[in-house]
Formats: sequence, C-alpha cells, structure tokens
Amino acid sequence: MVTLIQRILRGNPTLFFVYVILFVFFVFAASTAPQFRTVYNISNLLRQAVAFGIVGIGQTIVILSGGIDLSVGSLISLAACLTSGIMIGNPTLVFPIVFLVLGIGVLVGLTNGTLVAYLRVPPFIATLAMSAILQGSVLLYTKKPVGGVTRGFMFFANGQLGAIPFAFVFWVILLSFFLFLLRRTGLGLHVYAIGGNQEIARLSGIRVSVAKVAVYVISGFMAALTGLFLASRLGIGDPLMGQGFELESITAVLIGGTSLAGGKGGIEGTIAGVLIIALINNILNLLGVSGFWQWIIKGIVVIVVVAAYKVKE
Amino acid sequence: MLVALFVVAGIVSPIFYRPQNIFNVLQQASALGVVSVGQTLVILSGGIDLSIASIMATSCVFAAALMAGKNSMVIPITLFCLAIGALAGFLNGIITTRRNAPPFIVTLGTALIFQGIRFVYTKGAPFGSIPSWLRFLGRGGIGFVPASVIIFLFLALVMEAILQRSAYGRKIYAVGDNKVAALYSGINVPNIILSVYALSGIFAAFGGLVLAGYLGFGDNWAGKGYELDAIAAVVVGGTSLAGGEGGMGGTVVGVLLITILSNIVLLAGLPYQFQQIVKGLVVAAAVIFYSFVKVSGERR
Repeated sequence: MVTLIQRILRGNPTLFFVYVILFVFFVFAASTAPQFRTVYNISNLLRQAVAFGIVGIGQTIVILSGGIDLSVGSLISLAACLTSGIMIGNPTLVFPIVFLVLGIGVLVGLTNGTLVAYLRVPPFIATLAMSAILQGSVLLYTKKPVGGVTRGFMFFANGQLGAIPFAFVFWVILLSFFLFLLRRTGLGLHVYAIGGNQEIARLSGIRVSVAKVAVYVISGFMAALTGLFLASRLGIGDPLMGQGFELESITAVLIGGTSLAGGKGGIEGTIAGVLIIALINNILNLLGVSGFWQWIIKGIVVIVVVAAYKVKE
Repeated sequence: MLVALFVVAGIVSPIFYRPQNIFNVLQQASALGVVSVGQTLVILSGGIDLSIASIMATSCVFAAALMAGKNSMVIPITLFCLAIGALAGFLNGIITTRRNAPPFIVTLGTALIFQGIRFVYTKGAPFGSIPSWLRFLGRGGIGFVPASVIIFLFLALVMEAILQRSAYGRKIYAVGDNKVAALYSGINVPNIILSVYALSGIFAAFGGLVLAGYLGFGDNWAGKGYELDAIAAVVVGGTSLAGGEGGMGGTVVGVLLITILSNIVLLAGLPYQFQQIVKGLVVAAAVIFYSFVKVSGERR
C-alpha cells in the first residue's frame, strides 16, 4: 500500500494531490451537513457534476492543445433553448432535434477552429467573439424560458438505473471514450504535442491546423451535448442557462492540474476538478450561502487556482 | 472607414444626422471611450482586461449608494470609486505578474469577485441617486459638445502624449513588443504590467462614473458587455492584440465606429440583440483583417 502511494506520488504528484483534496472536501461535507448524506442529495450532486463534466471534457482537450474555449456558455444556452423550443413535447421530433443541436455544436466548433488555426485569431478572442454572436442569437430567438421537452427525453438527465443516475453512467462512458482517445490514439498524441510546443509538433510532421480544428469541434459538440442535458434536466431551455459555464469549466480543468499553457494534464484530473466544483456548489447551497456570496467565493477560487499553478516562462 | 460609416448611417436612417442623435451618439461613446483608453494600455503591454465591465458597474452602484444625491459627496466618493478600480486592477496585475498567470482568466475571476461584492452590498437592489454634478458629467454639454466627450478626448490625448513622449510610455511598448528583450534592457517588466492594469482599473471605475452620470441611477449591470466593446474598439483601431503596436488615435476612431455601428443597428429598427452579434463579427473580422495586413507587410 505504501509503495503504491509512493509510486503514484512520483508518477503524478499533482493528480494525487487533487484527489486528496476531493477526499477532504467530501469528508468535510459529510461531517458538517447532515442533509449531505442523503441518497437524494448525492444523486443530485452527481447530476450537477455531469453537466460540468461533459463540457469539462471538451474544455480539457482544448486547453491541452494550448487553446481556450470561452464560447461554451452561450452555446449551451443556445442548444438548450433550441431543444425545448422546437420539441414542445413532441416525441417524434426528439431524434431530429438531437442531431440538429449536436450539428450546430460541431458547426460552431468548426468556425472557432478555423478562426484559430487558419486565420490566426487568438483563441480567447475568437471564442469570446463567438460567444457574443451566440448569446445575441439565442436572445433573438427567445428572451425567456421556451417550449418543453418530452417525458421520455427527461430520462436522459433524470432517469435512474437502479440506484445510480443514468446520466452518471453516460458520463463514465464518455469519459472512458475520451480517455482512450487522448491516451491511445494519434489525435490524442498530437493534442499533447501541439500543446507542448506547436513549432516542434509542426516540424515533426503533425498537421497542427487539422488537429486544432478537431479540438474545437469536440468542444463545441460537448457543449451542445451539455445543452441537451440541461434541457432534459430542467425540462425547459433558458436563454441564460449556460452563463458561467465557460469560467467554471475552465476552473474545473485547472483544479484538475491541466496547465493553461497546454501539453500537460488530462481528463483524469478534470474528473476530480468537476467533482470538487460540484461539491463546493452543493455545500454552499446546503449551508444556505446566498448566490451573491457564491460569486465572490467562486471568483476567489478562480484566482487562487490560476495563482497556484505557476506557469514557467 | 469612419466617413464611409457616416454615409451608411445616413442612408440607413436620416435620423442619424439630427443634432440630437449625434449628441446622443457622442455621449454614449464617451463612457466606452474612457474604458477603452485603459484597455488600449493593457493590450499595448501584451495583456487583456476582461474585468472592466464589472468594475464599471461596481463603481456606478457605489456612486449612487454613497453619494445619495448630495453634491458635497461627489469628490470624496469619486476618489473612493477610483480607489476600488485601482484595487481591482492591482489584483489583476499582481496575480498576472507574480504568478505569471494568463490575464484573461485572472481578470474574469476578478470580474466575478466584484460582481459578487456589489450584489452583496446592495442585496441585489441598487439604491441611492446620482447628484447633479455627476449628472452634468454624463448628460450635460457645452453647446453641441457633451461634457463627457471632452473628458474622453482629453484623457485619450494625455495618454497618447505619455505613450509617445515619456519613458514610461515607451516602456509599455517595449514590454508588449518583447518581454524578454525589455527585461534585458533593464526595464522592470512586472512593475510596468502592474501599473497598466491598475490604470485600466482606474479608467474603468471612472467610465462607470460617467455612465452613472448618464443613467442617473445605480445599475448592477451598468456597462454590461463593455469589455468586449472596448476590445473591439481597440482592435478596430489597429492596436495589435499581441501587444507593442498601435495607439490612442486608433482607439478613438474605433470607439466612434463601434458606437455608430450600435446606433445604426437601432436606427435600422433591428432588435438590440443584433448589436451583440454585430460586435462579435466586427471583433473577429478586425483581428483577421489586421493579421493579414501584417503578414503581407512582412513578406514585402
């Protein structure tokens, strides 16, 4: 047991540290708030984690490549509003809408990727501009929550497989797929190489631009999927639903030890980061901390986290 | 291009040329102008400040609450608001330089903190009112020229003079152009960057006061979206996002362009959400345009 811990510590101390923090948070929550220990609350917590978790996977891959995606929040709002706004409780429309929404996510990612990879726009500017365009579009479409989803579609986020939320199982499957993609495929290797040093990656014969576009497409797809998830969870899409998701997904990725400079880290850490963020949200809500104070706390968390991992020049 | 936009504006709607509309456009341009001056400094140094909208709103809310309509309080509270802005900018600068953290994420964090602070202070419902002196700053004018525009142009002129004529200004360009080279030339790079963020915070707080004077009340979301507008104005004005290239002259033109563009959207009868879409497109287009101009310039 001791040697195992030593091996993990030597192999990836950051990752080990992050999971220790997660454990400490969990124990703290379980011992201070009795409501925390209920089955209802835990499955609620897992569902909340899945929302951040899906978009967090995409954000991790973008950040690993040395980029950033600030458009995920608006894209989530757009996806959720289109889902419920077009479906309006009609079961025959479920599959076409899922394809449409995911297609829009891919298209947005494709545009982001083209701007960054081929037109040399800095990633945070390209995706910030995209975010404004998407938020404007969704507010043109609707200013208040719109439409509704079918009961069957709500199973996606609220269904149970025995004692375990279906959404959690879905997330685990997604995680295994992307872990495999990052660690065992050419694209994954290229993402790490580009994030490590773009010039060396290019000289090694990696098609940097193609890989970058792919990365933003994945992120757009995952954000659209999160929009579907949130529409399913609440039964209705809200034009401001995704607000804050860009910052919280980035925070989760950074807590997980992935470097903003790119090339270092991975989804293993993001899982812990997502759970930590979901735990913090959950504890703050259980303790009755007002939403305004939560903003301050989250802002401080963001700053502490970026300050904690010092980037080398 | 500004001239072209003036012509287009007139074609879209003849109302544009009415003195009242021109006066309004200039008034709306000045709050954006003041914060864009600060944003220009930050971008010239190679950084970015996404916290200015939040600082503006915080300054606006505190001004209304603490001045409570009394002219005697205008000067002390103005100083207090500028100090808040400086504090926010200092936080941005210190984390960015000491921990070598990417500015866009640090400033997003700061934005969230100050958003929380003003909501906690007002419990979500801003109170108080803006005294007449500050109202004059936002609404008043000398003849056809709004007071706020004079202040905006004066600030831009002073900062341009500092940028071009003083050692401090040249150092900002040097840092933005090449940090390592600047460091080796004996420039205290972290202090320059820190000062630039502090200035941007102060300008943002002042922009919030101008907006408070214009609105006449404290608004928790005053200046929402101005971080993007300011970046748009700076980038359209030809200042490079990579830092070290550009200046205030371009930003002044950029501010007028962005404001006129927003005005045209409204005059054309389009819903105001269109403004957001247009601004997003303008930012992307401007960055792409200048990156191609630069590349073809290097090849020649």
